[in-house]
Amino acid sequence: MNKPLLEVSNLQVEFNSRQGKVTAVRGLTYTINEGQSMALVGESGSGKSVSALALLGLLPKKTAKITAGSVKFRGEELIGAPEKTMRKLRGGSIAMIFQDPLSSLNPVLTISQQIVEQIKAHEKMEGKKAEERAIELLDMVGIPSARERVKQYPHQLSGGMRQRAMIAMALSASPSLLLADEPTTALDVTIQAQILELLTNIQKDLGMSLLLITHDLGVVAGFTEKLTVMYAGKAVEQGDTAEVLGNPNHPYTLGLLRSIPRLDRPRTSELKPIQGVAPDMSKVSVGCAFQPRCEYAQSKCATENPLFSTISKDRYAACWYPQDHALQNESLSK
Amino acid sequence: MTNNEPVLIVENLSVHFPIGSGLVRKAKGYVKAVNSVSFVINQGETLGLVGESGSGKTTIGRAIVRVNDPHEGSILLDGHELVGLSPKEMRPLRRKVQMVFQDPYSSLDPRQTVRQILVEPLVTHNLPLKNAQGEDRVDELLNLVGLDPAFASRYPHQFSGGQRQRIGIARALAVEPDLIICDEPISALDVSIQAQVVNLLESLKKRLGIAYLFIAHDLAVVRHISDRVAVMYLGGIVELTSSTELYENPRHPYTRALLSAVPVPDSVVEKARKRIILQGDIPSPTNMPSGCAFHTRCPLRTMLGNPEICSTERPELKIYPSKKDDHQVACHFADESS
Amino acid sequence: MAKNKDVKTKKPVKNSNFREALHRFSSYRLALVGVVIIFLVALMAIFADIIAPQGPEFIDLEMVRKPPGNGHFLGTDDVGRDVWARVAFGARTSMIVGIGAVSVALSIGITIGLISGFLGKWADTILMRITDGFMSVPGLILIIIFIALVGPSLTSVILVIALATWPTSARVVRGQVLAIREQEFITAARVIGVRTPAILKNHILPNLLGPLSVVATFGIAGAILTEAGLSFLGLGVRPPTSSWGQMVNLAQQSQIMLAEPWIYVPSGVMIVVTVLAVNFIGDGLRKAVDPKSVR
Repeated sequence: MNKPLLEVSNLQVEFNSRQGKVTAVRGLTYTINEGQSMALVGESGSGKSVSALALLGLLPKKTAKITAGSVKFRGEELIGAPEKTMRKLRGGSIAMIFQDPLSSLNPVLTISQQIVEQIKAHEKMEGKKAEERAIELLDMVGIPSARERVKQYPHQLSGGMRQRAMIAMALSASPSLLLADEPTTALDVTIQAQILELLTNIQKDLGMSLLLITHDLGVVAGFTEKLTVMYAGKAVEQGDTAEVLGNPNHPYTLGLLRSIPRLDRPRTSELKPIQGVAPDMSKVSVGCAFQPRCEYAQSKCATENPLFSTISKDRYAACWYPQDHALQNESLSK
Repeated sequence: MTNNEPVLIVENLSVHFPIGSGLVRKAKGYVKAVNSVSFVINQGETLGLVGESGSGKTTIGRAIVRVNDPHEGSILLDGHELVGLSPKEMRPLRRKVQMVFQDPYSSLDPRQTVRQILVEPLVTHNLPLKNAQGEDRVDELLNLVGLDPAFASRYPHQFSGGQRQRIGIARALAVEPDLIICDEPISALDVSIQAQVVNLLESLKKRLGIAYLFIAHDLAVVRHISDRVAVMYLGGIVELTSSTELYENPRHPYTRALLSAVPVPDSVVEKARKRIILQGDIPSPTNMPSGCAFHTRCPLRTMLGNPEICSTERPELKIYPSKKDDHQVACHFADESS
Repeated sequence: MAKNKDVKTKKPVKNSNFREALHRFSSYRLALVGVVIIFLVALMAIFADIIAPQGPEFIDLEMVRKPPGNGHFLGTDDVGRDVWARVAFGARTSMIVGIGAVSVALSIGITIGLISGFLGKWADTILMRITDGFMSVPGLILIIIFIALVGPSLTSVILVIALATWPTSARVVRGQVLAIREQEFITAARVIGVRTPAILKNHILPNLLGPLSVVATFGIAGAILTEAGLSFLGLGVRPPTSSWGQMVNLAQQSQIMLAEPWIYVPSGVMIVVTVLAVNFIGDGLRKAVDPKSVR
């Protein structure tokens, strides 16, 4: 199980806009092993979604360019691979689900038609058989009375059901990697819990790898083995999810965890926000991008860019002064 | 901080929206967005209103500022009845209640400068543009929300989401209201910015003694900011008590499920947790379940062997004695759940 | 509290909404070409008296149907009037009709559209049914009946074009108002207690300007074309006032059509070039107003 499935190293993506060049991804490195789940966490503009589009070859060709780095899937280089290879990969070995299932589903086709289309795109199968498979898939993702539901149109399903249908479509070609971009952000808490439970079970049952892109550190915790935190286009911290959340090395991760109110901790009188705002990505930054907002910053941080390097066993961070805070000790645990 | 003078008393408020009505057609039915809801907000107090989409929490906020018309019930603001007032009669009362919106982008007019945005409420209510010390009110307001007064001549699109939300808060503060309805004020903001805005709202409350109706779906933030919390499900309040009591000792099966569904950023806690996963979807408010609105998904009802009363009789919000604070629950079996 | 240093360091831009729009507009080359052409046509219309001092109505009986040359650099027409002067004064007619008709149409359209879109309910239903009524009558029939009743003249041409086109602008305005009305800043204004007229004036109208400018430009192009068409049919501007359409009308005589092209070709070219130019400007404005349409 410890064979690497997806290896991304030093990925950089640049956009050409009227304001000039915007470097949206400035260096991202991670590996996902077979059967492993990793979360990519960051705020809007951190480059997390762009990096996912980049590895699937889905960046807008006119305006975006991968300027450096490599993406290997089962050892095969994807950057610069012909469109035909990529098309086969997308929806085949690598499947995707997105935040808004309504806009990712075709409104004029029934659920069954869309899943069948997906199945046939990657497998030779006759219509009847493909339809049966579609029903089977919907059953698997917990859509009640799937046999009737397949005949419905996307707008007839609730948000949670639509996301289930999307997951069913994604699973149709038995992918080895599922890429989920904010899959529960548009959903209510109780529905989110249902979908997360479903994704966890499916991932375990099928031995699939998972790349979960999210801004919610809570979603990450019970759900992924590995965690990569992004800030301003860069990976700033990486490691085992439980360890990173329990003892963050990078001041940004630490700041995020301290700034959110938490139900698993006693009520605090005041939150500790990260001051300032995220940097303008059209500017070239000298030194650490987080430095203007960092409470631990020293003079070196403003001039020299910290490398993404090993802090301890299997822990990486891009920081000159990595922190060592066991967060459990900060307040009384319940 | 809280003294017990109520600033807002809402009683049996219902808001129904007609479906499919037109010039000649009669309404085919009603979306029962809010059904007979009652609560009180005291001076300088924050009441959190939580619920999922379709619970009616936003509709309540909008009914108080009379953007929606209540179907029946009573809204007393500083002793003045708001239900049934004409827009003209309502206008002077708008100085007492203001609103902060969810979307910091669409809630500011893109063609107005920050100064124009902040002057509008002052001009509308014939308020002076300078304060008692002769300071410009716009400058004063911008300082109050932590923005540089030099920004006054800029347009909204030149600001980040968090800064725009500060401008929205400054606009609400301009008329010096007693109550601000905060409708999901931080859910459109980035995580690292949310805490800044929450802290700003709290410090304003301390300094100016404003009361908030804080509408949100994020239970952790609501616990942090609220003195008392009301949990809504399908147009009704199912549980209302102090923030501490609610989170330590939830009694309604929906509140319990909701709390257990919130993921926390701690893998050890997450893996040890027993999650109550509710089955099925939230029913549509056009087609409300009979009896208790939650009975179709209620794990407690299943556990008790589906008692009939749940599907036939709507439970009232009743006071249950508790160790710390008054605890109101709308469940026939609130005693069983503890 | 946190004052953001990041924003302070941004260079102060004044009204950069407008600037960005200008940038998008000028990134569309043809729009710039359009602006140059319309600028020249406008100069021609304004200074017609200076650039063609003999005037469009002066008849030189010695010089009938003369080809270009001999002091008439575009030649003379069938009654001995200078073609250049008639083209220049025709530009004036076209500009007056274009701007006049659109102003009248927009005033009606904005009023009806605003009331309809903002008040909604009864007002909307009634006003929109009236608008639909106007739109369901073919424009040409409406125009011919009106001209038959009032008689052809510059004023009646302007009025009749306005009459035929206001429903379009009313619909556009209503659609935009409906969209703007749903924006949260309108709710915010209501919550503050801003009166309806002030909401219309301070919030709705300024946000309408962009889309309206697009409608207006295309309206001008349409009006110029319609005037030319009416004059060609003899329903438009009466002689001796000059109009491009009227001049093209002369090509109906087969002798002129075949042997004396200088009489009608210049005005024909002017019609095509002017209408194209205005349309280019319209396209540019549409791109400027709606950032999403940028290629």
